[in-house]
Amino acid sequence: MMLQSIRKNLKMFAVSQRYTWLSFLIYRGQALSWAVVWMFSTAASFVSISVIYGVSPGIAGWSYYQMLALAALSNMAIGIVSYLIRPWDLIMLMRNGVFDQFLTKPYDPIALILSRSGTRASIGGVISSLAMLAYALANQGGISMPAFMTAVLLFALGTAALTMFIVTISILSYVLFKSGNYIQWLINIAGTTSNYPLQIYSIAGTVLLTVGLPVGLAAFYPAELMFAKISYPFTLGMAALSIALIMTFYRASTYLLRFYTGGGG
Amino acid sequence: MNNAIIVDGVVKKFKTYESYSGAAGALFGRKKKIKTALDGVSFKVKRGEILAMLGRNGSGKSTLIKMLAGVLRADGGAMTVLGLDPFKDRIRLAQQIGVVFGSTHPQLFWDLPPIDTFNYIKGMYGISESAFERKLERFIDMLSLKDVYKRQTRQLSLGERMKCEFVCSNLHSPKLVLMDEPTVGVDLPSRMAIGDAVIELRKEQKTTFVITTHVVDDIANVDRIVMLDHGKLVFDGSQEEMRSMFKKSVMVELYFSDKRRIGRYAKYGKVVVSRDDYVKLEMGPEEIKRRWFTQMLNDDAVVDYRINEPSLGFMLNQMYKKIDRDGVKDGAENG
Amino acid sequence: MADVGAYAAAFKVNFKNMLAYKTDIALDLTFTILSSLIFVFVWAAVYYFSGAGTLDGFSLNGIIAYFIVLAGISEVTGWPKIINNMEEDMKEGGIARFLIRPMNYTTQLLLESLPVDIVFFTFGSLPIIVGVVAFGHLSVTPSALALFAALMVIAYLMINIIGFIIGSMAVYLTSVWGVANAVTWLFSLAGGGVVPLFFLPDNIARLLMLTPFAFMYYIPDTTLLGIMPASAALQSVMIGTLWVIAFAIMASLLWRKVKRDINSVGG
Repeated sequence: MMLQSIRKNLKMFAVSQRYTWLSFLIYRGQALSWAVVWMFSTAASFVSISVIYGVSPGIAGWSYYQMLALAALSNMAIGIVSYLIRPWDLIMLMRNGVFDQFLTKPYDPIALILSRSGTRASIGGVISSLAMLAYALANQGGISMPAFMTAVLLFALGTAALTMFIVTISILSYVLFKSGNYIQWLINIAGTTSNYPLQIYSIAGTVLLTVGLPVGLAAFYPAELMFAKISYPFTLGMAALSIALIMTFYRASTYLLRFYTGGGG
Repeated sequence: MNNAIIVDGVVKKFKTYESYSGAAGALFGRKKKIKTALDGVSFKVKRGEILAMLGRNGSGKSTLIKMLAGVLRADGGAMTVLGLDPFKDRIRLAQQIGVVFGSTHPQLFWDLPPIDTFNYIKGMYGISESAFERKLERFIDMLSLKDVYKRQTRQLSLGERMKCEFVCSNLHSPKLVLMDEPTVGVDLPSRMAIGDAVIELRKEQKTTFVITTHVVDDIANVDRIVMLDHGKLVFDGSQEEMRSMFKKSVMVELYFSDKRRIGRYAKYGKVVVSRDDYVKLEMGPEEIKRRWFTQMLNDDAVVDYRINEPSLGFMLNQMYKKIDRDGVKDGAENG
Repeated sequence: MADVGAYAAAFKVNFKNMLAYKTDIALDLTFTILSSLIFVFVWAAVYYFSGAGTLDGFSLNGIIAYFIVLAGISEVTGWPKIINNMEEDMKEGGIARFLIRPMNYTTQLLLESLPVDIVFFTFGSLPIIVGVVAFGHLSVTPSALALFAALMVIAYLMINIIGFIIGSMAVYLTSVWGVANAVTWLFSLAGGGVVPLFFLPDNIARLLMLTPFAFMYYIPDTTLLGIMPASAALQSVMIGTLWVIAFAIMASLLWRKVKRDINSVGG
């Protein structure tokens, strides 16, 4: 039953991709300029890290290429999250009542949100991050295939947890203030902070960026795993934490949708 | 100078884009098209006149209003508003005109009470304190705004907001007021209050008004009507002149006690509405002098009847139908 | 014609209107500062793990001061606030509500964005800069302070004129947000908003110092901190003034064309 529902929602997600891409590509200049904006964040990481490693031996025992890989994972996670949800767009859909239509469709409203309210432009960030990751890993070398595959899985779970967190606070912000400019700022800050190893932000910062704003789950721990900086049991713990957060945030966001008041009136 | 507005062969063209369909189409971009919004429109408006500008959506009314206000530039022809070229002398003209853009481009600051916008206009147009107080009091009274103008704009109803928009455009005693669909979605009492204020201001200050509208009631008190269609002027004249184009017909409404008798009389006119025991017929005015009409009035099955001239709304609809049937010709049909 | 009373009335109503969004503005202000402060953590870690007192001749305190001042500067130069409503004005015909007033559109736009800039400056830039000068154990000279003020005025004018140019292009582009974001990102990346230019190779840094990018962050920042000598800062004031004039000429030529091409929507 549950599998059938997941399949049905995935099918809807795939179908809506075609149309969201079509409407994004209709204005090519605009699409290109946004994709370039997203590439800039990868370029900014590359320049910062190159300068840091140009003048110093580096941070917390991470090599130059390891640090590039970490930044690539972080930017890729933010790119994927933004592909799935843009908080301000979702809040506007709810404020002007267009969200009414989401609730009249025979699909999970959270799946509909993820299929419709993100930005296609973030693909620019994902592609440029992938290129940076490939460059970093090729130069770093010595990564075992099982570690890499497990890291990919951990990255997927972490990114899903981060996505569900953003969905939840977006709906919560709508319920509480009918506004949410600050969430985009949170995402930007999450993106920049997670370019670097979490321990530089002290224990409090590490915990916050793991459980509070779970960007660490998407970037830091997968990178640590790839470069053999954490053990498999610890990895398992992080995977379990990601799954727990995904389920909690999914339940919370579904619950919060009860407080949607609809448009007009 | 007796004319507030002279529009002479004005042309306005817009670039529009047509998308190709499909994913590949999206990649290949769009096809540019030139749309002629106004195509050689000419008319004049006398000082102190109230003119209604009618036309379907996309007929060019709003474009023309924006051109008269100096917001848009004409691509051809000439235009004089209060003796000035509206585009070149925009700032000088702005001092002397008021504009209401309906609910689409409000002047009122959304998060502030209207009184703040009124004060802003006072400073912007250099209205003296005493004149401002006097005018504001007059408008508050005229439009029943006593409990409205100090509340936050976002909390006001559309009708209340539009009355305040009207005040914004008239506080500086403009010689000409352009109103672009000021009553769309506005409740009846607010609409009537704005209509009465227009009449009052024309009487008191000889203000000229140009009003675009789709609401038939709005044109009940205007001096003249111009009608645009597909960017061309298709009518310029008074309500009477418009009526005269259709005076060949009268509307006869009949109520029957026995509906089987409807068929006997329906054949003498064109059935506009028919339900149960009621029929509305459109017929030539000479028909009511004929014998069958007298017989019908004596028929016991006819329990009530009414004879009217076609309503303004009916005439306008006929007008649009006529345009669709005959196509749009150059110049006005009348005047 | 508009007189002082008209400007005052427009400024006053825009200021009041801005206050309705005070929570959003306070959050924007805070997060702009926080974004720059992340680099304080990063560079503190770099110095900590390197174990060296100076890197490339610069101390940790110097770098921290650079990024704290950067937080203050970017409140004014990080985003051209003049652009915020321009696309809507051009695309959805909102410009009409300005053009019916007896005042220039540009002046009205400035009067609309000025209150936001004043708040960002007063509650963002000023406390940070005063704090750094008063408690930063730095020797900020009066001449450095004066040159910094002049460079900030130049940066403010430059970013807003550039914003106006991009906003005006809304008439020809589907959306200007992508371009505006790309340009502000580029300014940050090439102007010292991400890494101080003194860490870059000399020839690249020298070249960037001549471009408008460095005027947004690096030049005013290093002038205040005394990293840039007064003579070089004075030279930058002159180059910056030339850039402002060049951009102003570009803006006015473009606006002359845009004004004629505005396609204000409506039937």
